[in-house]
Amino acid sequence: MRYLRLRTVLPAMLLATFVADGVTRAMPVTTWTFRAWEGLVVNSRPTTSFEPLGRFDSPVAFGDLANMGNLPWMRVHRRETFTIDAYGFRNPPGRAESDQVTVLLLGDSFATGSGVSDDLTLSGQLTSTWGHTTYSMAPMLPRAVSLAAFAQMLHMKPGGWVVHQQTYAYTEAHARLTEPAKHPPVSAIERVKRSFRADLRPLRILANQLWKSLQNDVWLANPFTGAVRRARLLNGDDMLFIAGESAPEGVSPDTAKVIAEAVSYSKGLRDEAARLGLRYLAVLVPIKTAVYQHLLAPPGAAAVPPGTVTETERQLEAAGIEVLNLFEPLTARATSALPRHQYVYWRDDTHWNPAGIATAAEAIAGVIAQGRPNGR
Amino acid sequence: MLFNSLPFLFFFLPITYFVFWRLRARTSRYVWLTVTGYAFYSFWDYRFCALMALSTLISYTAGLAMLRWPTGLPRRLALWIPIVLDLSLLGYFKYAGFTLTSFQGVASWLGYTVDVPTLNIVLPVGISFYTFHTITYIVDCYRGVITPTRNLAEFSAYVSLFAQLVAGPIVRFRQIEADLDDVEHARTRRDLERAWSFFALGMCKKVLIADAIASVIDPALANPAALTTLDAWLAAVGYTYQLYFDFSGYSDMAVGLGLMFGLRLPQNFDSPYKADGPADFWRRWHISLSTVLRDYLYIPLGGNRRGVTRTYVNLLLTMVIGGLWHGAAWTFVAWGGYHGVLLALERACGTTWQRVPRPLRQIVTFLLVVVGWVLFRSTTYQMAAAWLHRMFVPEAGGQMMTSPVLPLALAVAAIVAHTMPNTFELPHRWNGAAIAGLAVLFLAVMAVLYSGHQTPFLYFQF
Repeated sequence: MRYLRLRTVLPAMLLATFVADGVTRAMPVTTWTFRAWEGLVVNSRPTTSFEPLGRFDSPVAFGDLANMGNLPWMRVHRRETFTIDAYGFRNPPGRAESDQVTVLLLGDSFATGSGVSDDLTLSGQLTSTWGHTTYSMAPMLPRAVSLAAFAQMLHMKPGGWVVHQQTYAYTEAHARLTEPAKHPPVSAIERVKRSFRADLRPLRILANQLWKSLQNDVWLANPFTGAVRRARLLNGDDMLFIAGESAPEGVSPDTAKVIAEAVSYSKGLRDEAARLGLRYLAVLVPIKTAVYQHLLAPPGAAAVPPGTVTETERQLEAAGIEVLNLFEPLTARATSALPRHQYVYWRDDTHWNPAGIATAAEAIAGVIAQGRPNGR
Repeated sequence: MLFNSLPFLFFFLPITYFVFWRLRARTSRYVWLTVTGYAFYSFWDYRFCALMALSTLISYTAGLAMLRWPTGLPRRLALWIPIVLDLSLLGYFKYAGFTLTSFQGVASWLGYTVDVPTLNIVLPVGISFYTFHTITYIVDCYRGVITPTRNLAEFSAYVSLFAQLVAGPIVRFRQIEADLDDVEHARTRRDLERAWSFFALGMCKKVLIADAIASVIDPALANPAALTTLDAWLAAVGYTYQLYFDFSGYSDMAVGLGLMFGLRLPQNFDSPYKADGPADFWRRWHISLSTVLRDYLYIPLGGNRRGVTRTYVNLLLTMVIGGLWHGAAWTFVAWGGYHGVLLALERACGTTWQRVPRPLRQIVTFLLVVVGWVLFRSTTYQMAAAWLHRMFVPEAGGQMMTSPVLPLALAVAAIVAHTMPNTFELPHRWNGAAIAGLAVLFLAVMAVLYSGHQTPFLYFQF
């Protein structure tokens, strides 16, 4: 009891907090995050998408929109396992060396499979369900000249495919000149150093989670609700969307110009793939708002493809690029699944769910089998 | 760097503390306090360390001059030249821009168009405080109240002591001289329990009460014209408590930090919201400033010894200057003038006011102070007018502050401010349950610090 004095208790608390601060910095960031993405990106390297040999496994991961809007009651909890190989991409260990890769997958977080477990991603389903062993380098977009290094690393044979998932218009400016390289796991010391460089403090993450739990419009105002839009579906369920996101039918001249730059980038990839004996397929994935706008209450809206998707498809075809537009398959499946309270996108996330990915995998597998997109 | 910040708690304070208590000689402890004071100040803006050093040297030299010349013109010059220099620096950095824009405003009102240059002068943090430290030292030396120190290290340690450097209390040299002279004999454990108690209580007052109130009323005060009458009063009362717990919390932390180094800083707040009159309020609020204004301005002006009218003028002038000290804005002048008028009115009422039952006097005084804080908090006259209009002209429509945090925080604040002993009245001998409770509160404070949701101390801007 003689040590139970403020002059010992409070300094001891400060010391304990200081030690905890240091120790938590040395731990994987995925320990503190609600999903894999943020936890695995922070320790990536210049040539990787994620932390080499990193792993995330949570039975209660939930969506980015529920987090953005600080809406805990909208969370759809699911298991998310997220495994990164030694090259820093989301693939099971050993796939790069398997000599069996027939598809190289490019794209953004949709292709990566944000919010989805390893085996249910696009590359996972193409591999396990359709037999097309797929290596994903998403979300990193390569310069065209980098494709050769990846094809060589994967020992891809002529006749293989480069499948490029596109949701937003990414141009050459977003691409990186990179060569794949194996990396060792990130050490604890390196984690601590990076935490200072990135001003990343796990204790702050925990404190902010506690603070956000008070910002529930009961104790404190929730300042995040403006970031998301909550809409009622025809089946009575609620679904979250990014606030302000729309899917208009037309495109402005500026948007058409950006799409043209994105198509130019795709053409460069297609040409390089062709040089390597690989076929190139652009896969257009619509945003969630576009897929579900006709399923929102009140009824009456038609399922109309967004102008950006239509224009992108038009320009890609004009450039002679093979393109697969997933608007119709996804919309059809979304419509048929609605009465069963099933969806093709997560209700609490911007991304598609395993059912949506399955739709995409089936369509892509069909193209690969038939050798031409959309059955044409 | 704030006291309630992680770099201060994890690095600055432990390093400063451990090195201080490893040093044994008096001068080495002075030098260390000076070095850490400048290091602390440089986190705000290293460029102004030279300014503080200049002010220190000027005052120190003035003291030596007074030792050299005990009487006569040189002694008077040793008084006035440094004061003029110190006030000139303060005037330039704090009031030059305000003076020019006010001059332009008056000229415009008179029908003249005057172009004034836009001065982008950065206000050095704490200049109002350390300037008053040095001026009080010079005047006390002149008056013979203290013997000027020949030890530059001791004087530098006094001016740059990090505990009171940027937001007070305004510590006169004579208040800390004995502890400084005896610094090599300071014992570690004597005041450490009390030190941590002050520090922890101060942190809790600032982070858990003041900041909680601020989180609700600050957004509402972005547009006071849109508040309901009830919310206008809640915001005014909320700011009343916020300012008290913010500033007194800081002062408690400063006292605690001083005690950790064997230095006893003076009390700055004595339950001001228990005051039963304007004069009593100013004996309890920001005591270090009000006593400086009394001893170095009001009394030299004649105080209450030159007739009734002159007394009222002296009161008004002292309070207006006190208001202006807080910031270069006419709302501060108005606030100071408002309190000057209250003091004059109380004096004019004589014993009539004293015959009012004390609880009623306390309530009226509190409400008068609340109204004054509206002027203090407002950035413009228009804001003050809109806010006061909402308070006194009943309006039902408007945006309500619906968070339950505010009534809860106000209830806690009211109970603590009006009924409980203040930090200086506590014995600071805690039993196990109290220590556990304080530890839990301290943990909550740490959670808030980590979340990044704290606000700077309000008096830093002065």
